[in-house]
Amino acid sequence: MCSRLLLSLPRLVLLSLLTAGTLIPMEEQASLNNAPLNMFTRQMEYMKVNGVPGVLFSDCAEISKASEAQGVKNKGDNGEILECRPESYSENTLLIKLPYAGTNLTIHLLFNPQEPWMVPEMTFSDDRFTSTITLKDLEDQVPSLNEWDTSTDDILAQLVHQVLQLYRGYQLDRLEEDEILQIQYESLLKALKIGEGDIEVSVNSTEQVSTTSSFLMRLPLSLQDVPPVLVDANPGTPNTFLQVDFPRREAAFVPKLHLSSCVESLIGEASSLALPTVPPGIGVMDYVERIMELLEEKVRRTILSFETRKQFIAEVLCQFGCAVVEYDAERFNKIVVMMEVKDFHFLAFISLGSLFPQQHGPRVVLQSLYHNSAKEPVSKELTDLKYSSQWKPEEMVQHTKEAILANISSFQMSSIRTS
Amino acid sequence: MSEEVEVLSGNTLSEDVEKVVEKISNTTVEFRVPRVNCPEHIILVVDVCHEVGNTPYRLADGSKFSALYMVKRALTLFLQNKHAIDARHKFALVLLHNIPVWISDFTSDPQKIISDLELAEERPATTHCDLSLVFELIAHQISLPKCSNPSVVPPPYMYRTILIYGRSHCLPQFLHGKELFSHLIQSPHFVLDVLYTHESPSDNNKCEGIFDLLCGLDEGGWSYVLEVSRNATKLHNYFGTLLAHPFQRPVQKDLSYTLVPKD
Repeated sequence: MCSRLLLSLPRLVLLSLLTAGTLIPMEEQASLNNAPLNMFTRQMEYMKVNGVPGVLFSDCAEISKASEAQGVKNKGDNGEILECRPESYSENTLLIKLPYAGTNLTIHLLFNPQEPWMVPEMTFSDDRFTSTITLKDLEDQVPSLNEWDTSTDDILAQLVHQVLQLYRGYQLDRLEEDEILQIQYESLLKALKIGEGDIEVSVNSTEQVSTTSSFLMRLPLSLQDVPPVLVDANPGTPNTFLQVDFPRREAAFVPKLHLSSCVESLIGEASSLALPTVPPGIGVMDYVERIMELLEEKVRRTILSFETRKQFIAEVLCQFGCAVVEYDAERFNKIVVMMEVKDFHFLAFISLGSLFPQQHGPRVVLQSLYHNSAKEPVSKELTDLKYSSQWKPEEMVQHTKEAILANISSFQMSSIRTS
Repeated sequence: MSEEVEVLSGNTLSEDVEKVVEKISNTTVEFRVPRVNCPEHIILVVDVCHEVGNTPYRLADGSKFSALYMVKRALTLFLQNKHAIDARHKFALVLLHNIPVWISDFTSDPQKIISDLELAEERPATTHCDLSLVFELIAHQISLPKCSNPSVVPPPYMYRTILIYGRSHCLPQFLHGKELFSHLIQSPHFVLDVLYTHESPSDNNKCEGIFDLLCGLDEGGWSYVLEVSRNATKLHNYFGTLLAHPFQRPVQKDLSYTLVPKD
């Protein structure tokens, strides 16, 4: 249940702290009695375009109307629980859900239906935060409340940013009460050479056994050596986050890796990357250094794979340049060549892919120019291709050629039979 | 394509490969566009005229098939193979009789074109063939990509027209001017290929003259102009040749497919 931070103050006092905001002409007032969600379309669009400031997972931030199920519960005369929904409660409340350090901080903004342009009342999902911050904190650190102007496009963004700074400070204050976590935090900042803005901390009371403290940090994984064509294949910012949960004081911390889709397309999905088990007694900093090594190695392999593919394709072009049909000139994943053996012409599809060269060799499919089934030409994949990741591209191409030559007669026979 | 052919440091490439890499960047034949396999929008112009006295294709088992039937079969394999190479390629179908008719609009589904092609019937030969109408039709149906720097920036797609001409007695000519043809041909993103299927050349037909005229359509030197008489294997081979992407394929005179075992 949300505690109402500002209800403790008389409304008069509240009003005196705030300026009146801009005067709204009568005709505009009529259009302003829409629900707050409609009123803040521009401001929400602003955050969609510019990102939600101050959170690492800005893609996961949500702004919505309060659902009707969130009405206040009251006890009836006989002690039964009644759901009491204040009239138009949901219509006049904006919820801004902000992911923070593996959990969520939700800001509830309750607007006055009669004066929706006035500064809203604000409450938070984190009760302890609500009860800790003072009016002075709000005055000093959330000045957008004093300068509330619904015509400004970034008013919500400013509010969110300022509240988050306040929340961040609150969490860091709590961190100081936990010496071990504090040491882990400071060593991470130093070892990763990241700024305070790259790490979110959520400290939970140790009296409550079920709650978890968490760190969420942006890992400084560099993609600067990755060929731009691979990075540009996926939209969005390349982000690598590590979340570390501390379930109980004595237990080992639990790591979780979060990768943006751009990074996943380069090194694989976060779920497929086996994180090393956490050795007992290891500090977070040392563990994170191991993760960084793992991720950097993956990036190096992606770059190596690309370079080797490029060399392989160049080698095929060198040997078969006068017979090339088509090749992937950006990512070097495929080349198709037309060949002739004893007047028998055919196509050879050679595919590489991101697991080449380390995990497997080229995939070669022979395809017919003469025979087909209803849907496609007759084809045969070569299964006896000799391969070693230690070979140079020249050797790989030579073995590919030999495998093709060895399979031509059987392919020719089978395509006549199959069609 | 200069960004993809910088010679890698550390000299991991053999000398031959380095030569190829250098050749690609400083080509002797001046390429107007980067050698990138952008999607092709292929316009198949199929001549459905059947001239009196046309000989059929005779296969080894004695079976006989009309020229149009053979073209349909080979074209089916062309469409299926081209789609397998890159599913982004698109195809459109034009049937050429006395006037060209736009039958199927661009689709990346080869089956659609194959089905429409199946329905095409042979028509009696006409006295003339007006190429102006063909290129006028094409010019009105397509929209050439706008590219600020075509020699460096690959276009989002390019157009290729494959004219499959099948008459041995009728000279194809520009009866209404060449302006639209010239406008299309001058674009680096429009390529014309020709496959001429004909009777055996003799004094009784105009095959050689027609072939010369068709070769004349290759004004820039980028086209493939191929000719075949009633040889089914060669017809299918040439459709294989036509699979090659215009921005990456060798010029016609350099084509060589023979796979020689290493001695």
